[in-house]
This record gives sequence, C-alpha cells and structure tokens, in this order.
Amino acid sequence: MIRVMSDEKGQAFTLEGITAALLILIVTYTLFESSVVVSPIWSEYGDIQLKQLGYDVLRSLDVHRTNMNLSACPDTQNITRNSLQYMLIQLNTSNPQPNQEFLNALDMMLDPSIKKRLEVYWVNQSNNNTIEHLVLINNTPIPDAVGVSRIIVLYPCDVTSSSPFYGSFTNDTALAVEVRMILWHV
Amino acid sequence: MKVKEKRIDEGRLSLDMLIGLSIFLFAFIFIGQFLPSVFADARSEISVFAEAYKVSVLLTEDPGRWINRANTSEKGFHWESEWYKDNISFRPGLARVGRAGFISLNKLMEFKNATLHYGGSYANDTWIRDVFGLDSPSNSYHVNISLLIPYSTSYNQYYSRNNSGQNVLTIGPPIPNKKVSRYERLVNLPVYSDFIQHYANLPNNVNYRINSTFPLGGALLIVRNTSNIHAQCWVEVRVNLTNTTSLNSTYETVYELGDRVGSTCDITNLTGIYPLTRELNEGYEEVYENFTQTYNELPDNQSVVVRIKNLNCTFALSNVGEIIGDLSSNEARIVSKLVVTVWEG
Repeated sequence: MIRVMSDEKGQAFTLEGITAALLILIVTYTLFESSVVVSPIWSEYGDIQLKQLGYDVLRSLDVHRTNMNLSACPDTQNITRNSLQYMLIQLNTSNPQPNQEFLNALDMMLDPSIKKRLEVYWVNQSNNNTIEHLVLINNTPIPDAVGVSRIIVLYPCDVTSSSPFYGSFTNDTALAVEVRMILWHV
Repeated sequence: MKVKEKRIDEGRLSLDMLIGLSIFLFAFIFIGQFLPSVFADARSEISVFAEAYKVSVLLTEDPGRWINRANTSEKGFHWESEWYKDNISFRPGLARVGRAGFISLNKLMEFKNATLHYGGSYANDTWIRDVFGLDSPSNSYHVNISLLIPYSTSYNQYYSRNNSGQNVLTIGPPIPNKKVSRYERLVNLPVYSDFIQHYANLPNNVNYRINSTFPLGGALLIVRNTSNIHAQCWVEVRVNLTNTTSLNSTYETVYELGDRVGSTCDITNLTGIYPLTRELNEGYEEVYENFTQTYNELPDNQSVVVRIKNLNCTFALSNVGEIIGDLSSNEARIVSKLVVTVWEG
C-alpha cells in the first residue's frame, strides 16, 4: 500500500522563506547604512553651487559704464569692454560673435571643467512683439545643465544699424535683452 | 493496489507560518524605527547648507546695517565707520551699497577688525556665530569664512594673499576633518595696490623677471602698441625654477604671442588683453615635475620671465585673484572666491 501525504495547501517552504526574509533585511539595512543615501539633495547640491556661480559671473560682467556720458550715446569709449553691455552692443547681424575681452573675462571666472552655452533673447517691439533669439556660444548642453540669466537694458542710441537689436526698438523705448547662460560640468 | 490519500487541509497554524510572520514583523518594525535616523543625516546637511548659504548672501550681497540705540533715527549702511562707537548695534555686510557682489575694501578691513575686537583672534568665531544667527537653542554651528583664489577647488584650497604674504580674509577655526557644508561665491574686489603683486608697463625689447609664488591668483598681459610695424614683434612668457644652492635651473615657455619668423608686426591682431593665469599655473606644475625628476632636488626660487620684442605691454600678477579688465582704467577688478564653510559643533 502506498500512502501519499498531500500537504501542499497552506504550507510555507521554511528554509526558502527564512532565507528570503533575511535577504530582504540585509539588503534594506545595507542600502540605508551606505554612505550614498538616495536623496534629492545630492543632485541639487551640485546644481545650486553651479547655478550660483553662473549668477555671480553674470553679475560680475554686468559692470555697466565706467563713466556715464549720455550726450555721447553710444558711449562706447566709456563702456567696459568685458561687460555684458558692450558684448551686446558690438554684435553684428551678419556674424554675431561675442568680443574677445568678454570671452576672456568669462573664461577667467569659469573653470575649464565647466562648459557653457550663451544665448540672448529679446522682444522685437516693432514686429508684433515676437520673441527673437541668438545663440552666441553654441555648445550642446547635457540634461544635468543649469541655466542662469540676467536682463540688460539697451537704449536705441546704444546700437547701430548693423546690430541685431536695431529693428526691435519702437520710438525711444528701451529694450530689455535677456542674456541666458547654460552651464554644465564635463 | 489501493492508494490511500490523507489530505491535510484543515487550516492548521503551522510553525513555518509563525516563523515567517515573526521575521516579517521584526523587519517591518526595525525598518520603521530605522528610517527616521537614516534621513536625519540628510536633514542635518540641508540645515547646515542653508546656514552657509545665508552667511554668504549676507556677506557678499548686503552692505550691512547700523543703528544708534540712543537715537534710532541715526542709522545706515556704513557700519564700518560706526561699529566701534557707543550705543551702536550693527550687522556686517561686505558689499558696496547698491552693488551686490562687489566688495568694499573698508568693510572688509573693518569686518576683520571687529572679529579681532570681539573674539580676540581671527580663529575665534564666537562673534560671527552670534551676529549671523548661527547659535540657537536647538543647534550650534561653527563657521570659517575665507577668500581663495579662483584656481582653488574644494580639495585644493589656495588662500588669497596680499603682497605681505598674509591671507586677505580667513576668519573662524580651521575646517575640521568631518562633514561640513561649503558654499562658494565669486566676489569682485577693488584693485588695491596691496592686492597686485606686480604691475609694470614694459617697453620694447625687455627681459623682465618677477620672483613669484605659485599657484598665482591672476596674471594678465596687455599688448598696447608697437614702435615699429616694419619689424617683427612678439611676447614670450616663461616659468623659471632654480635651486639657488646648486644653481640648477630649468624653464618652460607657457605662452607665445606674435610672429618670430616674419619681418612685420601685425599690431592690429595683437592688441588686446590676454589672461595667463591658467597657462602659468599649469606650466609651473610641469616645470616643477621636470625639475625634481631631472635634478632630484627641489627648486627654492620660482619666477615668471616675460620677454618682449618691439611691443609696448603691461604685465600684472596677483596672489589675490583673477585680474579682470585693464588696470589703467577704473573698470579693473579682482575676482576671488569667498568660501563659507559651516559645520555642526
């Protein structure tokens, strides 16, 4: 006579169960004890510092005029050549490039391990308020890049007919140009 | 043959079940108890980081405030000329009025004087903690505020030094070897004579040697004009290392400008401002390695050599920070890193 015990129902497989439970426990403990805690602050820490650096650089370059002489506008003699203002007013529609003094100052303040992209945005007031933009330093950012910007005010007398901003003024109103810099570590 | 089947399906509470449930409950309670302490560390870091940010903003973006407690109508931003008088309450800030990020030299000096006055030494941060609200019933932090050259990194810190070799700003106890929060700001300092190690208008045809210490905070070459466009013109910058006892010496050219082959001077393309800080600092590292490998000894004299042919130039070095702009105009400034480091303790 063969006697079969059919006890599949409601049974726990003891050894496997205990092993699995211990495994989960060990993994959980190791994960939380490790020095790298997956928390939003770790990625933001780097971003905050890089973003702050970007804002400080733009602020440092927004040095405006060394001596105001509105009657001589455009007063290029008294505008600091490494400033955002000078960089904008010297732009030429046919080949818009930042001037060398500006690029030198920018590079002196940013470590070579930081790459950058530089764009300017403005509203063309004489063309139905369309938003126009130029890419002045054309590098392709990575997804972890951060963006900073600063608004620079240009006056009609600041620019010449070869400037990309020339046709964007209406009457004598000033033009707000947003200089946008995107930074990332390489 | 008859098979006799015994079915055990009466819903017993087995020992396996009890063990499994016990382990699960144990793990569940353990993790529940453990989780808050895991994130306590991150919470603490967020809190310390915020303190470092706060101090950096108050110092670099705000000019500070003062008020006369005996006559509250007397108040203002220029605490630097009032703080030592009677009945004055003040909070220091280093920024020029209306110019965030641009440091006032007077405020910087008086900030150091006030720290010395209230704390007895620059290493005592008691007054700084009090004035920036770093002491509270629940938390207490220490702070170190330093000015570093932009070439510094978080693991290689080089202090901004004046021409006497003293740190321009180092306040607070040394940074401990434990978890700290560090916040960096780029600040603009005025071109004060004590911050420029060398500044020389160099004439045509000169070999100019400047004894210096590396790494440099800033180095700038300005090419202005030439006296003869029908002759070749160039500039060469070298790093030179010497051992003054053995007289062993080696150099490396770190920067060249102009054409040393042709017979004319293309002054239009040469005129301009050339930052040389990184070239000189990286060149120094290479020359140092070559020197030690070649001679098996250390150099005790470091110099920068500027060789100029047929050009009028200005050359400037600083151990405080990068020199931005033409030093002969009032646009020039020195850019340094103000680093605030905060830790619990």
